[in-house]
Amino acid sequence: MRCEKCGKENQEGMNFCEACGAPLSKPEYQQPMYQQPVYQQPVYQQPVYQQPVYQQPGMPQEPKKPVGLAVASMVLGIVALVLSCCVPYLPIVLALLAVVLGAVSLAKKMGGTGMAVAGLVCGIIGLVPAVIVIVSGAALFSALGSL
Amino acid sequence: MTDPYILRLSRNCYYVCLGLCAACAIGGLLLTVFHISLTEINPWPCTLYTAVGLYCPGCGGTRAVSCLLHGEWIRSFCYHPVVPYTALLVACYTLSHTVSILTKGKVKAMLFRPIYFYVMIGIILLNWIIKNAFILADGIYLIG
Repeated sequence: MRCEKCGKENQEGMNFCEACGAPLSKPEYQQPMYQQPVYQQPVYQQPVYQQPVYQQPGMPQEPKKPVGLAVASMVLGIVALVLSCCVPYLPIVLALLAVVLGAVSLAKKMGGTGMAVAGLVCGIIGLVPAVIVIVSGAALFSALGSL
Repeated sequence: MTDPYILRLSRNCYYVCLGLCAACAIGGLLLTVFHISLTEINPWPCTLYTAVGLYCPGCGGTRAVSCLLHGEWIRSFCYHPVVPYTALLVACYTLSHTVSILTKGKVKAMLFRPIYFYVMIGIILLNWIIKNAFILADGIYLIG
């Protein structure tokens, strides 16, 4: 450590110069900068739970039930209902078809149960005017025959 | 995600509706050009009405279609409400699918839903019951 007054080299750690007795300036102690480590809270990512699709081994997936018969039954039933007695004979055929298709669809447990029932009901209701006309026509015919 | 089976069924129904619209347009044009009335095409009177004096579920349908073709929506509704309902349903369904095809799927088309048919059946039966109730109760013939 060099004395600032006389320039003599002194040992490290000495407070006064050996030659002239002047106080020696110590290098400023620089406290090391303590840098607190930045604590980063780990981001917790909840794992996305994916429910496993259970497939019985060896069994194929159940196929979607077809609704064609039920739709056909319902449409035929509606047409038979609307044409009840305005067109000769056709509504009876359509109503019977609606009833048959609806019954087959329900018996075979196919898709579209609601539509099959609707077709069945419409077909039966569509037959009612035809039955009334046939019965009243038969009654009139027998009355005319007895005269 | 819509079931592909329902999508296929909806698209098939669209083709049927398209055919119906085309048939109605051609039929209407022919009737106009040749000055033919619908009642001339369907001359048969209602057999139930002739036999027992009650309306059948379809009574008034021909007159309702005729009124609709002449743009008389209210008269058509009075004759038979299911005719304007079906016309509106078929028109909306056909239009939605056509727009969906033209916009390459950006606009979603109407799907086949059984509820449309259940409402149709309900209208037919309700109309039948109400019109016959007027006949049985007060002898009032709403559609002549």
